[in-house]
Amino acid sequence: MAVNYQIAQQQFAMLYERNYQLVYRICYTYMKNQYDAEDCLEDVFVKVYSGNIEFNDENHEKAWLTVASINTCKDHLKQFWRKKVVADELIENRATVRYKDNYLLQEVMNLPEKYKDVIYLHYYLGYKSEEIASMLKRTASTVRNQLAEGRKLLKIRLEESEDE
Amino acid sequence: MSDLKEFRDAIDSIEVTAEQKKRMYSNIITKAEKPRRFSFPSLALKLAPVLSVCLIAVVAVTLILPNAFRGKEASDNIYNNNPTSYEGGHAGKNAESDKTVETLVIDGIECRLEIYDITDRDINDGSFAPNSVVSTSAEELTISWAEGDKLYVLSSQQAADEDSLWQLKDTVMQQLREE
Repeated sequence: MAVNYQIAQQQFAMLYERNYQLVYRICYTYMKNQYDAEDCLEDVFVKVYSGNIEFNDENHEKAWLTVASINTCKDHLKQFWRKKVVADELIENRATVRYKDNYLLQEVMNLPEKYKDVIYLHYYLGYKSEEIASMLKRTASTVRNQLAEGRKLLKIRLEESEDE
Repeated sequence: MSDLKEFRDAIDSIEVTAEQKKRMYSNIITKAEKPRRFSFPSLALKLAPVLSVCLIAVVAVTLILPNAFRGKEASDNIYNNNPTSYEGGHAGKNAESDKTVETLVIDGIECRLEIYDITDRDINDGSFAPNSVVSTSAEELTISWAEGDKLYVLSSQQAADEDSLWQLKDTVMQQLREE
């Protein structure tokens, strides 16, 4: 039993090593600050650890962690108490400076959820629309439409900000 | 997307320090191995169905059921002369045995006359109020009055209104006196 436990821990440590950067980047991009990003990352990996989830291969593992990270961040963002904490304390923290400095990233993450998710998955993580469709439980044509609409909206917002 | 590289670079620039990585890993292990505690919102969600059923039961017990029993009690009291209730009945009489019941048809209207003996005890203990009372229900009109040492209760399902029942009362009393 102790041996199995050790193997499980070792496997988990390897999985963490492979994916912490990916998960942290997603969490940081959605949560916009270091502290919440760390919280979300921990929750995602706790789900893997406690849920004893088995992955078919590394692609499956990566896709699962990506969706779990996005969903965990959304859950955190919905928590009513968080809004106040962010507004009052975290908005000015040092870790957000890098985020605020990058205008494009900021604009992408300010898009409505349905566009933000697909743009992130497609343009950053390089998933195809069919893959995104299966990850987010949407149809491929919906994903393609959302990508097109998201791009259009992003373009308008970037142009508006240039004019200002 | 011409700024794609910029977008990717921005995300790539988000790095995890070695110290951060270690700390997060140790937090994950601690959280995962700690016995799961219920947070208030999740506990509330889990208990919501049970709480709703309890709430409904409490409302039913406190509001609906007592009224239902009270209604039954009131209707029972009309016929059982229970002195605890004056609603719709006549002034409290205790003994069922000293009651006389007659069914009469006066001017084509069928009515029921109940006659009770009023004892000194009834008067002294305050369970008998000598004033005439009227009860109206959807099905039956009832009036009662006292005369001498008797209490009279006249009920009819056919009387049009209270006044017509009071008129019947005069006829009834006249007949009784003649007898």
